[in-house]
Amino acid sequence: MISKLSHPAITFEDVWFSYSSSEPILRGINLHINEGDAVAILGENGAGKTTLIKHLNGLLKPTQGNVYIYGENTKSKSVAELSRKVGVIFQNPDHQLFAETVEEEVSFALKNFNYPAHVVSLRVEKILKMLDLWEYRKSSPFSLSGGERKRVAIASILSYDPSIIAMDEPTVGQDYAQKQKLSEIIRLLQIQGKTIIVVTHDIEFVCENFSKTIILSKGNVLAYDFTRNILTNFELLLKAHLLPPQIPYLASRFNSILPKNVLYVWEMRNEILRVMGRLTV
Amino acid sequence: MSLGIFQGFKFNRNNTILHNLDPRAKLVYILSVLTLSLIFSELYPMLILFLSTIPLVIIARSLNEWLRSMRGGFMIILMIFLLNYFLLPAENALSLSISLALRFLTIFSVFSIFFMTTYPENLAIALIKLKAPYDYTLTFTMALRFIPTLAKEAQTIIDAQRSRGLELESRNFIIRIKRLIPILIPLFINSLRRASQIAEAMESRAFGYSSKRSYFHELNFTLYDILFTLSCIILTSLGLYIKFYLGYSETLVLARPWP
Repeated sequence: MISKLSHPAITFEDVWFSYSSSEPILRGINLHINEGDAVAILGENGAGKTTLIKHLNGLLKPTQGNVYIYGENTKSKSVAELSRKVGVIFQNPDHQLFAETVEEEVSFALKNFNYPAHVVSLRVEKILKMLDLWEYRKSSPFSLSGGERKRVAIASILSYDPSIIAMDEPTVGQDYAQKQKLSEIIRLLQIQGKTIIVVTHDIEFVCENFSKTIILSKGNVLAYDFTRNILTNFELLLKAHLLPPQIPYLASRFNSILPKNVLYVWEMRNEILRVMGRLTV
Repeated sequence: MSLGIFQGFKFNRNNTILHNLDPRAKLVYILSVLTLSLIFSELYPMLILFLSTIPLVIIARSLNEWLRSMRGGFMIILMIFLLNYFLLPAENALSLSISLALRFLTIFSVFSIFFMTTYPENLAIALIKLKAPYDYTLTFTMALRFIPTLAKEAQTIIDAQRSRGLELESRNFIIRIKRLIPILIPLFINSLRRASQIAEAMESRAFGYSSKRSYFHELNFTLYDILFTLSCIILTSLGLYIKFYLGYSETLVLARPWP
């Protein structure tokens, strides 16, 4: 426990990575992510976001520099060992679903990690109920809708309770209700004290769910700060080829009367009421 | 998972004489080498035939890819050699099994040269010019086109399953095969799904609208192609002449230490 407290959950130390004989994708990444943080990673296509999270469970090892998970170097650990602590949820659920029933699919990782049968069934029940998949437990994962398949993929990772959870583009192809569901899951995981890292292009989703944001650009960390500071800094967003979220954008259009760092609808409402009050007085 | 064997069958964009030859001329070359390697089963002709493919690999500037796929195919070659060596009821078992392994290597090598230097689109046009039905040609070239895509997808699936604690390495062969199931099922399902998506996308772009099609690239048979084809035909005829008219047979006999 003491060692956990004295180390950040994730440390990147001057990490360079390139696939053999090609341009480096990561160019000297330095990062510290503390335990319990919810961090979004933003960046244009090809910035190295997916490559970065593949370093968390050792699927990729840095060609130069080191990655530490709770102070342990990923170079000395196998993917299976690291996956016990870091759950990586891939973008496309169809790249992992293979079992005959949802139940079996979700228990796959638990069985790989050698959990006893009664623990497996308890964990599977808990996670399926948490993600509203209990009624589908006997159905084939392939018969489910896109959003449900995504939730099965998420369940199959959450089932073994990793303390760091990384998701690659979880909102792609999800309708509004599914996205709300996903926000709920992320909030729940945060309450449980999990460290959450999410790669996404969905800037409104970042706004609503993450306290900190990293911007990657061309294999470098362009910025790592509180989400509010990043998403209201238009110069920075422009540099990373990102569009500002709607509320800060609206605030910027009322530059002279509204403060610049408004991020949420309720803040905007309060500001508008404040300004209107001032006008009527 | 070793996909190195495919390296020598992938088109590379070098610009060499071999790359610029008409695919039909190269098909004649394949046919000639196939004929020669099938009529001879003696050691020296097979060795000459095999060695004759190497300068072409060098001309095509593809030696590295070729070597990599040779290395990938090493197990198959070894199997051919060993099976023949131990099981052939012939006096010259050693020389015969070496020539049979060489025959495989030669065929492997010419096909590798062909695919490394022939742009799939041009191959399709050549096949159509040779009156092959368009649907079959398209199936063939699309299959080639999707090998790298499939390899990439296989890697993603392997990554996803390893993230769920799947360990592919095991000393037990049966367990290793069993552990491939979580990789093969998504790969098959995605391939089938993709096939139907491609079919829909092609139909929505009027595929099959009329039986006559126009082509973006045109092939023309140049002087080089004629010379190359002629030399292939002459060399093959020479081989046939030596084998059947002069009745070539080998005096050198390499036997097994046991009968």
